[in-house]
Amino acid sequence: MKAYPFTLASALFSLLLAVPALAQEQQVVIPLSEPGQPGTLELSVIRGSVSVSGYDGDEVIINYDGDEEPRQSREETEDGLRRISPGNSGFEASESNNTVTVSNLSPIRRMDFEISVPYNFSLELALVTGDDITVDNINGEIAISHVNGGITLTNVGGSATVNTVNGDITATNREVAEQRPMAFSSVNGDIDVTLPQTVQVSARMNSEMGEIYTDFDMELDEGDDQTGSPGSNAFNISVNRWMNGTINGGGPEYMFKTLRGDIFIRRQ
Amino acid sequence: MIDEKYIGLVTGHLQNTLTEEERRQLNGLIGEGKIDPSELREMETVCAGLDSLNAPEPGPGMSRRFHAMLEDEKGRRWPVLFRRIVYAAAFFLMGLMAGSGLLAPDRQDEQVAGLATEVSELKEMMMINLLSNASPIERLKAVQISNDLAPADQRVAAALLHTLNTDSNVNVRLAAVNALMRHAANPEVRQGMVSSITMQESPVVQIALADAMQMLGEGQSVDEFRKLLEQNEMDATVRNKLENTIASLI
Repeated sequence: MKAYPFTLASALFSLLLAVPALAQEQQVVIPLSEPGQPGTLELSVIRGSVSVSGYDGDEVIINYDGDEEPRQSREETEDGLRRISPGNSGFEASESNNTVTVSNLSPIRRMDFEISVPYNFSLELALVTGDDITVDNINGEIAISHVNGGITLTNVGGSATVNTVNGDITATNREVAEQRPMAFSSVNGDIDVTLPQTVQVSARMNSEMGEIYTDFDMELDEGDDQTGSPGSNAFNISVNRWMNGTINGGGPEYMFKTLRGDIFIRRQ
Repeated sequence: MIDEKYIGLVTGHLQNTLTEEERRQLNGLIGEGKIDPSELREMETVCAGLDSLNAPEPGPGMSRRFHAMLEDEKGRRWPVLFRRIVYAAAFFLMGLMAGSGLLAPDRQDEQVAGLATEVSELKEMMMINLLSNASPIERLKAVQISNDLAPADQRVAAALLHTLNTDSNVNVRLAAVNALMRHAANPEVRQGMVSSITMQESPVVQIALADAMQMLGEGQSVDEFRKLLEQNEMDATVRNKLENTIASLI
């Protein structure tokens, strides 16, 4: 609970200012314009946590919990001015053609989101710092980007492009969309992807300092020969090459790239 | 490709003859990913295009000619079986002629080459079109399609460089770095990759470019990496990696 000291500090601070500001724990329910149809959720958070689950329903349910409002938005200023702008919930949510967009998040407040969406939803999620992003029970296109944290996908279908800098990526794919590529990249974390046994993909893998493991019967190609011309520099002997392998005869390309972590490609 | 099983539904959708139930079924299939919505949209576009083609109005002469032809046809009293045998023989002979190389070999090659060009032009159009798709998965697919196209293709290289510099998705940019390696014999492409270095704020793309430059022995990139090291607060691992790259290039 990294948030704890901060919450405590700001709570104390608020007390000192004698402004009663309580942490919010609230819910917004957003109906869809085309219930039952596939939709998209777009959400970018600077600091906090994001967790999205699929459920059997037709609405997007956003549970959120944020830091107290920062000091600037107190009820009354020291020279006696009262605040007349409405209290800020910390974000705006809108819906259009089944695309739900959460925007206008304050860059300084921590916001924690727990969101339920119908199963057939695509996701575009981004987080800069905070906890891991978790997604489960979704069947759609999943695009997730994180900087300081991990990403965990559980029981997902469809396709995914996932990237982070400092964190592990774990993805368990119940099924995968046909003829759709996927990509997983990190700098300082492991990439651990589980795929259905019968999946047909061409894997392109590169970990500079880590190792690559799989329990699939992967047919490996010789090193990457896609370069136009090799460099003339003598240092190039140590150049970091990509590995290519096919699973069950090959198919769309799945890319796995990390600098320091290991890559695991598991059979379900 | 849309599975043949669903062609009925798709055709119904294009002709706007679906019942409510069928429409639900179709949407369900789209939702499950069995039918690709982008393919469906492409088909819609094609159909709209077909509708707007002008069909010539049948003139009065047409019906007269048709009846004359019909009378003509009736006049020939060939036994049906005989006619079938003649047709079969004719097709057989045509097959023989084609097979024995009555078509000059270089002409065949020309035709095959022409077809291949058409296919690759279509692929190129599809790829460039997909690169501006809203879905990052589609854009990833577009970058991968470029690997099937001729490395000398300038338009493809230019589109990939544009993607490398502007795409919002890190993995799409990463795939673009890989795809551009096939075009690296072209000095403009190398120059484009070098100037892209300072535009990348994603460490994953920075290190991919470092690998690419090292592989190409591209000394011009050294200054760019130095600029990158100056302007950014950088992760220690990435900094180390870029410093090693510089060391190997000078």
